[in-house]
Amino acid sequence: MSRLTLVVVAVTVAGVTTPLGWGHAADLAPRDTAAVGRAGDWSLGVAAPLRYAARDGVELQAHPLLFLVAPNLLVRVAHGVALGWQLAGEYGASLPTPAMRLAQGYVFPTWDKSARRVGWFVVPRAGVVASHLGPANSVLTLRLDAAYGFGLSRNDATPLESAAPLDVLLAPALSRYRIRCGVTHDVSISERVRVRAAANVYLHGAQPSPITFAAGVGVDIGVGERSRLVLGASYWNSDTGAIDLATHEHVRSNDFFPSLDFIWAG
Amino acid sequence: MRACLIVLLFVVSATGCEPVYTTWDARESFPVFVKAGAASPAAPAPLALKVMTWNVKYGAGRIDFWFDLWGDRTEMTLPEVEGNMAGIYALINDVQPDVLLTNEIEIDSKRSAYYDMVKGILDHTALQWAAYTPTWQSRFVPSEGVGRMNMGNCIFSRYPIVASERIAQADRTDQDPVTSAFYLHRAVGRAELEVGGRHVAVYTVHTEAYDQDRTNARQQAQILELVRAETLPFLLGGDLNALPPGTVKVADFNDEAPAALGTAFAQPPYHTDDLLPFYGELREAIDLARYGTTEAEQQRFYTHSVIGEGTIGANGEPGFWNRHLDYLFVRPPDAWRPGSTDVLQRRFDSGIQEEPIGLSDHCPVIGTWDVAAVAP
Repeated sequence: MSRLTLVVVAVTVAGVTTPLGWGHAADLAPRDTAAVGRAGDWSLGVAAPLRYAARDGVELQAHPLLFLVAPNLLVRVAHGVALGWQLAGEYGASLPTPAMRLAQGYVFPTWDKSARRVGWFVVPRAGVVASHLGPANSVLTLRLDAAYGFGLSRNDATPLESAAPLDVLLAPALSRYRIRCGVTHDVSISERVRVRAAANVYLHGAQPSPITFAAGVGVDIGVGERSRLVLGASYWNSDTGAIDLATHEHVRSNDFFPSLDFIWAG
Repeated sequence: MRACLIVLLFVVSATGCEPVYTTWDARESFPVFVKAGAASPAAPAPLALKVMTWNVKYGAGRIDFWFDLWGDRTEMTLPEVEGNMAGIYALINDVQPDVLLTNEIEIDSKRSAYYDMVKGILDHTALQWAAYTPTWQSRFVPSEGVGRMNMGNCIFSRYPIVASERIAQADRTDQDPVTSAFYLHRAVGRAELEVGGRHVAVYTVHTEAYDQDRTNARQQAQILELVRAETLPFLLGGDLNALPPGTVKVADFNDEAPAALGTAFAQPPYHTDDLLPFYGELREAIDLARYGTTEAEQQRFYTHSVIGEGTIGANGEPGFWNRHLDYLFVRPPDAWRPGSTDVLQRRFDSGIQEEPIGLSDHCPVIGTWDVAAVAP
């Protein structure tokens, strides 16, 4: 796999909402919820991560395509129900440096005449997800998570200030931290079709602005018993250093990204 | 790798509101920037304008960037850019030009900390109008982490600029499509100035530096055709990346990094006859008689060195100006006021207090353009 293929995958992963939860009823189950699978449940998408329930209420999650160059693991743990909200905790870590070094010469400098380098980072991440079952099998999900980039060596790489999904993905390593606060509403419109809307606010180190907004809509179409085709689009509002060329005034960037995935589940 | 890059670019460019790289029409009008409170000064009679051309190397001073192969820097901090630009402002203020032509000036580039150098020059000098035309504008250049880029040429004036136009130049043909898309797209900037009730045209040019396919010569020919068709008195200036006819030293320059050989940034051979038509039809600030016929005579008029005095070059010598690449032309009957033209190589040249060798990899060329009473 080439280095830029990995970048493409990273962008796609960031642009697609993470698949969460799977159903055990006839209806297509909602995603991105606090539901944690039963032992043996699994799912895997092209861009969506591999998820495997090691035992009831505990899932392991990783992006297989990125794993070899950016080792990553997330553990999702069911934390019960409070006031009608199902709760789950997410705890994980990633090591983005190998992928970043593979991208040197393209999105990062080579630095072949000095001691400058892309540093080693470990990025722990923790978050909480809360979901509430509403009318007509709809699910409202709130999410708060944070990731921090601990530098293990000298680093000279700076934020890319390129496209918001990639910038947000690399924010903990390149601008120290990323905090996400999000809401998702997932509604069943038929047994095999669900629609969803999501909004997220990201706080991160300056790149140049410390805040990024994202919103998206999508539709999940059931295929077979548990698999699904996932179509969507997301809107990102971020600061990539753009200016209005007519006035030379600083402006934020507005970008739309389509998403397409197929998630196998069992 | 190229295929993957194309996929990535397609995904981003097909969906983002801002294109990943920018293309332009053959001729496009561009906005003119005006300093707040700008007022047109009285023009001298007969009309004469003090003019200056300077490739300012995106405010990088003597920081060795990766493509010069003497260093590997890819971006600067804001204090570095501010410090370098302060020296540029000081030298401009030493000269006090009526018209300033700049090459490699940036308004929104990651490598220059998003510093707006056009606004900076307007804010820190007596120049009041600016006609900026981009030549390299990409949302993200996926090479060596270059990232966002907006670099171009700019014409500054103390007198009102009433029109600004970008005229596209021929692109290189020796690059693959992806490289070409993200590479510079050279252009001529044309501005029309209103000075004392008269209109004059000013052209700023910066032709190709690294072509192996004679793009530079094609661009020069296009420039010549443009100015031949000009009906107004005009000034033509900038970095032509070409040597004057009769230049003695044409190869083995001290500032050519050995590591550059065989790369995309190797110096292509110079063809010293290329500019003969310019010298034949126009008047250069440093005419060929003054330029001389020996290396000793010509070196007083060199305008470029990749390396500064702090770097020992390929020939074992510290860096200093080693070739003439920057030009100012007018068309007869317009002329250069005798004794007014100079290449500002050193502090105290024509009275300047700044040391140019530390401010850019080019030094300025200046002169006073006597505009004939009647247009040709």
